[in-house]
This record gives sequence, C-alpha cells and structure tokens, in this order.
Amino acid sequence: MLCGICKEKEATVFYTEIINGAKKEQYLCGECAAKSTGLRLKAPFGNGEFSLGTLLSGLFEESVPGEEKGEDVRVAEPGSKLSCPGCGMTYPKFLEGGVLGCPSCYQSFGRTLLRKIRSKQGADVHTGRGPKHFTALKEAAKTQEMAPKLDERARLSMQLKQAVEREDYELAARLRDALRAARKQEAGCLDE
Amino acid sequence: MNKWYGNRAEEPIVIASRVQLKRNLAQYRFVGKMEGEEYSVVADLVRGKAADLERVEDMKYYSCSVGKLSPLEREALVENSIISAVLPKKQGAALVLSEDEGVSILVNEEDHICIRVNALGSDLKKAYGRALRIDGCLEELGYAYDPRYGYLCASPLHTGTGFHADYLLFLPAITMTGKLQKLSDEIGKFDMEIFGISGEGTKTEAFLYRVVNRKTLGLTEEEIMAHINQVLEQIVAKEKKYREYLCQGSETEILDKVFRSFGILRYAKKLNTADSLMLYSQLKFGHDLGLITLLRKPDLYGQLMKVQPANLQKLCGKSLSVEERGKYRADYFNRLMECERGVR
Repeated sequence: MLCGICKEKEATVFYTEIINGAKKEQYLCGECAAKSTGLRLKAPFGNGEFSLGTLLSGLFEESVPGEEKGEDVRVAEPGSKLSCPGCGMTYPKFLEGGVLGCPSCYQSFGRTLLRKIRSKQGADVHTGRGPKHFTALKEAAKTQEMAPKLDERARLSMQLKQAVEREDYELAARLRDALRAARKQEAGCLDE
Repeated sequence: MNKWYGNRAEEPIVIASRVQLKRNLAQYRFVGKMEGEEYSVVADLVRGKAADLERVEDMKYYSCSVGKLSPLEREALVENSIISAVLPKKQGAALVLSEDEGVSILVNEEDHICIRVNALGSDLKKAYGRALRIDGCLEELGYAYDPRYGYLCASPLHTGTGFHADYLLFLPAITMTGKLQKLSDEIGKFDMEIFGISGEGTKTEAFLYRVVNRKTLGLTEEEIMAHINQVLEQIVAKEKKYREYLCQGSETEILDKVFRSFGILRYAKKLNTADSLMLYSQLKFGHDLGLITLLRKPDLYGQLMKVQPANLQKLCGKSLSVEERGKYRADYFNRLMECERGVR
C-alpha cells in the first residue's frame, strides 16, 4: 500500500491519532510519518527499524520547535528549551520556582505545561465560574447557535402540517422524524 | 464597628469559615516577573477600587501600602491572619481591608490579587457570597482568564477557580487522643489538607487547625465547597465521638486540666503566648463539655487576636519587652477570669 501523504513510497506505518475524541487513521511511509506526527525516534523511520516500545516512549517526549527536522535528538527534560516570548520565563526556571512569569506562559509552554497541570490537579479543564463579560459572551454565542435550530424547528413544523393537510403521509413521516431529531438536539443543547 | 468574629457566640468545633480567591490582571506580568513601576501601578489599581467596594458593601474600606506600616502594625496583621507572613516581605505589597476586618485583599503577594473573606462558624456560603461581590467589583480591572484554564494564577496549582475554602476548627479531643496524623492521612485522600494555625505542619498551640482544599481545577466552586463540607461533617462527628470517649474514660484528668487552667489564668503573674492560649483553649474545651460554667462565653479566636505579642502591645498602646508582655498578658487574663466563679 502507498503512503497516504506522498502517494509515492510504500506505507510502513499505520498511524492513529485521537484528538478531542476525533479518530484519524493513516497509512504512512517512514519519512511522512516522522514529518506529520512530530515524533522523533531514535531509530530512523526510513529503514523501518523501530519497536512499539520506542514509539510509545517517543510519545512522552517533547518535539522542540526550531530544531532541524530529521535530526536524531531526544530531549532529556520535557520542555527544557521552551521559553515564553511574553516575559522571558523558561520552562526549567518555572520548574525550579513553581511560578509562571505572565498569563502568556500558559500558551507558550503548551502541552508540556498542560501535562504538568493534569498530573498535579487531576484535571485540565476549568468548569467553574468566569468573569461576567466572558459568561455573557458565552451565553450570547450559545443563543446565536441555537437560533437557527429554533427556526429550523418552526419550518419543519409548518411543512409537517402542510404535508398532513395534503395527506402526503410519506413526507409527513420523514418530517416528523426530522422534527423529533431537532427537538432532541435542542434539549441536548439546553442540558449542556 | 464590631469585628467579623465578635458578632455572636463561638461554636464548639467550627470556629470560622474562610474563602480565598486568587486573581491576576491580564495586562501585567505575574508578580515574580514584575519590574520597576509595575508594582505600584497594580497596587494603585486595586487600591483605587476601595471606594467601589464601600458602595457595594455599604461599609468603610481602608487601603495602605504594607511597606509604609510600622513593623508592629505589620506583625499585628500577620497575627490576625489578615495578611500572610510573606506579604510584608514582598515588593510593592498593598492591602485593602474592610472595616469589620472580614475582607482583606492582599495585593502583589504571589498573585496580583488575593481576596480573603471570613465568616464566623460554619458558614462558607456567606463567605463565598461576600467574596463574589468583591470579585465582581474587582473584575472590572480585567482579570487574566482563559476558557480552558480558568483564572490564570502565577502557580498552576491555583489555576482554574483560584478558589480555596477552609474551615478553622477546634479539635482538642482528636489531638489529645493522638488521632490527628490519622485524620490528616484520611482527608488527604479527598484532596484536602489539615494544618495547625501556626503554619508548621499539624503543630498547633491551641488545638486550632485549618482544613483546606488542594485542587482548584476541574471542579466548580460549589463542588469544592460541597466536598469540604462532606469532609467537615466527618471531622465534626469524629471530634464529638472522641469528646464523649474522653469524658467517659478520663473525666477526672480532663476536669483537673480544665480547673488547673482556670486557676493559672485567674492567678498567674506571668504568661507567655503559647501557654496562655493553651490554657484558655482547655478552658473552652471544659466549657463545651459542660465541665465548668463560664459566665462570659469563651471566644478563643477573639483572645487569639488580642494576646499575641504585636496585638498585645497595640492593646496596651506602647512597646513592651518580653518580660513586660508576660506580666501584661497575665494581668489581662486575671481580669478576664475575675468574674468567673470556677465551679461546674
């Protein structure tokens, strides 16, 4: 089978990625796998010599931005070269003192910090309250998102009434199902 | 105006409830990275909100730069838990304080803002409600907030809600029966922590401890309060059980301790802080168990606020040596016990 990206070389890696519950599967050649996954493995992908163990350990290491691609580098300490452009704080310095330099550090240290937070706090998503203006924005976005759905329901309801009046029961049944689905979806939105 | 702890009689176990909200301003670097004028700019912004707070709370608010206070005043604020022991050491530290001392806003400690709100007894809800009013007023300054991480704090250990809830507990029976370490291990499993009010592990002088939540992310403020309330219920039940156990098993010993404490507080001519607080806490314990009748209901927290070195000197109105403080403190307790008859 040919590589799903370059469509030239033979695929030697079956790569599965799950981000936010969305699963993406690909058959890749060694080179494309190295480029697209960002994993830096000790054994070069090119000759196909790598073990599952190597692949898994690679998942917990950092790919360091700015390093030459394809270079066989393993980072001893996760995030050891990360720094925040906002305040100049480096990740090792943060580990030393336990405090960050500015609000932007949360973005600058990205997934490395996220993993740290997850391990210390047991969670990585805030579920509590937020500032008033933020809550208002969130509410407005939710209402906007729901408005077309409500319009859709009214439209379906009207079409259903017309179909029944015309005795077009086949169409009416389809519209009834669509209406049920829309109601269900709306209820789901409100529950969130 | 009455202090927040002087409004009503003290409860036997749950002395006080406190919530803390840690916040930072989006436009500025965190305290550890601030330079030059940034400290005073942030401090002035927060201090400038005192007038709004007065309007919202219908109460007088004071604000000051901690560096400009006298060492005695700073020490007194630390003794009263109004500010943390580290705040006076921080550059550009400031304080905004409500007239009843129930609300203190610490500026430029670890985070730009730390809102501390106290309520007497087991009343986290009241403290939280008040904290929200203060927070609502200060958030106009533009908090650092991220939809994923919540309120961004200098330490990721506080990020999320930035919310810590704690109870100040009087646990003489659990301490006397040697069950404190076990309790500490148990509540640790629920991501809670217990520490003595002196701040050195579980060591304490007057059987006073604080129980606080560790985690601030992934739970709502209400969920954190519900968890700590569940833990509190268990602790209170245990303390009651051990009080009964002590009363049944060693009543004479407890009686002896209580009346000795009364005798010393009534007649001693020199007392240091630790001894006086221990004696007074034993007296409160005796009163709670019905072993001694006190005409003036014990208020351990109130006395704690008066007899520590800096507060005692403020009460006296002049600077005192250790020797003089010992005498003044003994005299204070002698007078406090004067009206008591020392009977069951």
